[in-house]
Amino acid sequence: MMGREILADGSSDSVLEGFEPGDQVGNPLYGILAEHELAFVIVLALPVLAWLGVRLLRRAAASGKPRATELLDGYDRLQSPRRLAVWLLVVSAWVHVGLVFGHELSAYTLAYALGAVLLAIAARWLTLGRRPRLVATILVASVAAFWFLGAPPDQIGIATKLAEIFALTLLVVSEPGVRRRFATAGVVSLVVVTGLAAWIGAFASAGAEGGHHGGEFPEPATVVPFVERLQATPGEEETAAALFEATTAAVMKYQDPAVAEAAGYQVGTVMGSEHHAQNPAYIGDGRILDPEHPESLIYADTAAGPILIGVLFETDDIGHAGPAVAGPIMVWHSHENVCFSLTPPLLAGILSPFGVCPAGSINVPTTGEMLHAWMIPGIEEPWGHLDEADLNDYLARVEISAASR
Amino acid sequence: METRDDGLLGVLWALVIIQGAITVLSAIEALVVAVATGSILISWPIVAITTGGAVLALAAARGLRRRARWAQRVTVIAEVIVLGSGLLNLGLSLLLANAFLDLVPTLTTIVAPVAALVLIRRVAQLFADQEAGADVPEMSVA
Repeated sequence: MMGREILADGSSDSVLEGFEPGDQVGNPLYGILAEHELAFVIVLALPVLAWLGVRLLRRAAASGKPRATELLDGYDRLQSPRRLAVWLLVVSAWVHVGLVFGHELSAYTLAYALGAVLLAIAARWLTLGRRPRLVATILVASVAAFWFLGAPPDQIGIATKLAEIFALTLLVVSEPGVRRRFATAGVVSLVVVTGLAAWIGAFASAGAEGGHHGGEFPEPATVVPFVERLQATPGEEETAAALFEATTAAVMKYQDPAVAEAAGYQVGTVMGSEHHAQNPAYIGDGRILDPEHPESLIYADTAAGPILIGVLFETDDIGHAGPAVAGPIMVWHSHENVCFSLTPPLLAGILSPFGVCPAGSINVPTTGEMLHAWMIPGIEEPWGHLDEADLNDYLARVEISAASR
Repeated sequence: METRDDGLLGVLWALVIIQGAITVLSAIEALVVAVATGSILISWPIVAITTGGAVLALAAARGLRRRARWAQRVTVIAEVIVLGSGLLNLGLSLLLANAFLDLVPTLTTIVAPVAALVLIRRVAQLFADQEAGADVPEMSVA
């Protein structure tokens, strides 16, 4: 799905497959990978196929086929939780069938095929009331396989694992001799570990520079346009350098937060290493990428006091692309699935793999486009993504320098 | 011997446990974000409310198992809040992104609370029996 290709002339080109220049690319965590679309489609067809399957089974039972009779009788004897667990196993097995046919032949497809067979066998055993512990083991193994092999996680993968954990919980609730307290702890642990694994997989799937320069998957909640060409032309390099110089010269006066406050920036108390101070007067003012009027200033809180480390330019409206004046050097990005708290009003995080925001916050599905410029000496590229290690090194240097004075 | 309501209560219990577990993860995420952004001093209410929600959901699941009326009420309130937030997010998504919710948020914030509310309605007699003082054993569908 992704990779980097070095061309004959030495330039590096992009390499997300299936995208066109200008397409907005987000992390797969909030989407469905192209290879998983077939699984999604055939799951939608499952109700019809299940109805047909049950009809055929009833016909076979009526004509005296013992296996069909055994299955139908077993299902009729099941309690509600186990009936639902059987259907969840069927859904999961069916998703795995879709994954087999959605991927090119590899070790993964063999693993998906094995998963489909085992889950289907587990559904049969459960219907017949046989080997519940082995069924539970298959479910746990399938969830655990996702922890190690599920990257990059997408909506199909996460929904399937939720279905499997739900099936396991239903199995536990109807299994004699299982202590509910342990069952609860086990289910909570499975959900938490699966969520954490999804986070790790999602961040690991992002490009080395957070995808802010295009051509790679971005980090979760970041959206960048697909960039086919990663090498800038000399003209684009000159434009980017001139804009950066103009911006730096214009905002140097805001190194003192009091001056920024007086100009309308809402600095407040600087906290953390990337404190954004927005100027409401510059939001939607029709001036985009104006070095004299960046929409936000970015400060870092240090032992030596707040220091200005960068600016953020924003477009005026959601859905309007920022001006592409320097090709792959200045790639605008937007955000998706940002959790915004109302208690108090602030950024509360990004949407969980399980589709929820922290309590008291809402999910903002998309934002306008934005572009960072970082005023940190020595970094390779001031536009776009900032490597956290570079920021930490710089802040450490500032603090050492302040302490030695 | 299992009654139909008894079996549905088992399904409800499993659903609420999963929702509680998802809220536990959400509380952990909120804490990590608060620490990582250095904003714990102002964002502690988010962490506290989410943690409280997780504890309440898991306690409600335990109460449901014992057919406690308070657990039924807490679950109804919690599901209505989750459904309300899901519908709000759906509205925002349609308005700002011209898109429906993704698959997983649809399942966890629309389908799951609707299913839980329907199940609570279907098993209401169990809670009524408990309140009336009938000798009702703890949920045992096995």
